[in-house]
Amino acid sequence: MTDNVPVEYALAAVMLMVAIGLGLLTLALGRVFGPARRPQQKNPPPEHGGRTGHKTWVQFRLRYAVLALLFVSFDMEMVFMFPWAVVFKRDGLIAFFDMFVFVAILAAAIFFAWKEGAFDWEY
Amino acid sequence: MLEFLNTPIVAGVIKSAIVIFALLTAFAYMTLIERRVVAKLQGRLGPNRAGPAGMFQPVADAIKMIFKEQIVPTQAKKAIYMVAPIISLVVALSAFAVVPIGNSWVDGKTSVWDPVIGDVNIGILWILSISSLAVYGIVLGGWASGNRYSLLGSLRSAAQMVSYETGLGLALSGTLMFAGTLSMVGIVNAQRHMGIWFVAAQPLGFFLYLIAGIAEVNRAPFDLPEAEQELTAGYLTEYSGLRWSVYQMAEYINMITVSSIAATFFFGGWSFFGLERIPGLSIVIFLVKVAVFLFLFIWLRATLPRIRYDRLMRFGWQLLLPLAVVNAVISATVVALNWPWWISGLAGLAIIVAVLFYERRKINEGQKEVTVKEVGGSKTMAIPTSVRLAKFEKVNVE
Repeated sequence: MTDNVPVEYALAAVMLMVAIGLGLLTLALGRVFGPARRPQQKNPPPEHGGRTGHKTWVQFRLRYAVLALLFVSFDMEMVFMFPWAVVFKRDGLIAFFDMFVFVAILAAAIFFAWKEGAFDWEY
Repeated sequence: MLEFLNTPIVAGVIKSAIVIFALLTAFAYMTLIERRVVAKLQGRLGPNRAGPAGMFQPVADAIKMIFKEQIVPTQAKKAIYMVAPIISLVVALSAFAVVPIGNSWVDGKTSVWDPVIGDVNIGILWILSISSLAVYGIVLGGWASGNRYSLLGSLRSAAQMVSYETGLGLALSGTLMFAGTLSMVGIVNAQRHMGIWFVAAQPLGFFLYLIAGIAEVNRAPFDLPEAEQELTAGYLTEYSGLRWSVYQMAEYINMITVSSIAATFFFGGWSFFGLERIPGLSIVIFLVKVAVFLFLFIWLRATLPRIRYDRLMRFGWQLLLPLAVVNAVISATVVALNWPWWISGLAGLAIIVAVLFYERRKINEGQKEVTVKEVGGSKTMAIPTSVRLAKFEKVNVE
């Protein structure tokens, strides 16, 4: 580990670059070695017994819209909790109880959503 | 003359090339090992023809994949369809950048050639944020395929990853309180410093993490996005050839990453009772620990049936998440009041036992009788009490 923080981020980003390079390489490999010409009748998707022309992108009922909203709040909560988890020992009991208030509000939210049936399958 | 090798960036490029090569090899042999192990567990032989004990099977598979036809369906959104697998792969690979694979070559002294690519000081946040991008690869791929199976599979995957990510993150937060750092290297060093593996202080956190991790990488018994019986192959349905194998690669590499995090957070990473001081041995120790977890993944796949979709969501939100919150509260109390670590260990074990008893009681539930109207009269049948029958509205067919 070097002490220079930006360098560490740059190193992690290097991995990202190499990975992108590898991804492009696989695309290129497939293009070079794969069969170039293909019969058109293979193109439609294999469903409905070969009938084509139906719409895929139709409106339908997504059964977890409320869960998606809850997820956003919990993910934010996680982002707050991680830095707190690292430093709260140093900051003493005040920080500890501060987080308790936060977690209590959160727990109340979970149980409210639970009561309202957000976690149950929508029939 | 070779001075330039000690610049961090050059070392980083070489190290990441080595790690990516190692990961791809690991992926190739994981496919073989998985097929062999599942075959053994099911009393079959598995692939054993190509080379000794099937050693060259991955090579044959790779060559076959390269020469295969790559179909782009007419209904697909072409650009997104092509890019989506690559998003998956890039995300899976770059999450691995902060995982410490071994001890520094001289114990206690750091150098640019240590076996970790970038020791970012927010290591675990890097992994969580990068790996939550993985859902883009799957959702975009499924959406762009122009196939309803794909679309449904990818949306299921999105719901599942969203539901289990919160539990996963919260399960890890207990360990972070004990370690007092977000850096992966720092977490391993904290365990060496305390002289314990964090699984002893965090048994509940470990089990929660393991379950959520399996769900996060879409492995059995949580492999609903690819449920063959319902969705053909989920988001993979339209993919063929090398692009299909890129998706597979991403899945297996994610598995390796989850195993590495489990080993690093709960089992001391590359440390093993002082043996890690011998240069090079720490890497072997780490690999063995990861291999144990990978075997566990395969074993679970061979043993457990797939969980039903509504139960999957309910399990994630109603059991995993509250337990993770409880675990975080217990750990915070123990750390803040300077109690010894075994108190949180005992409390965690007690909660695990209590939950198992509770769930056991629910399995032995009674049956209820329902009357179902059918064409030509109604019928009474006995079903478990937890099952709720769907009610359908009458549709007037013209």
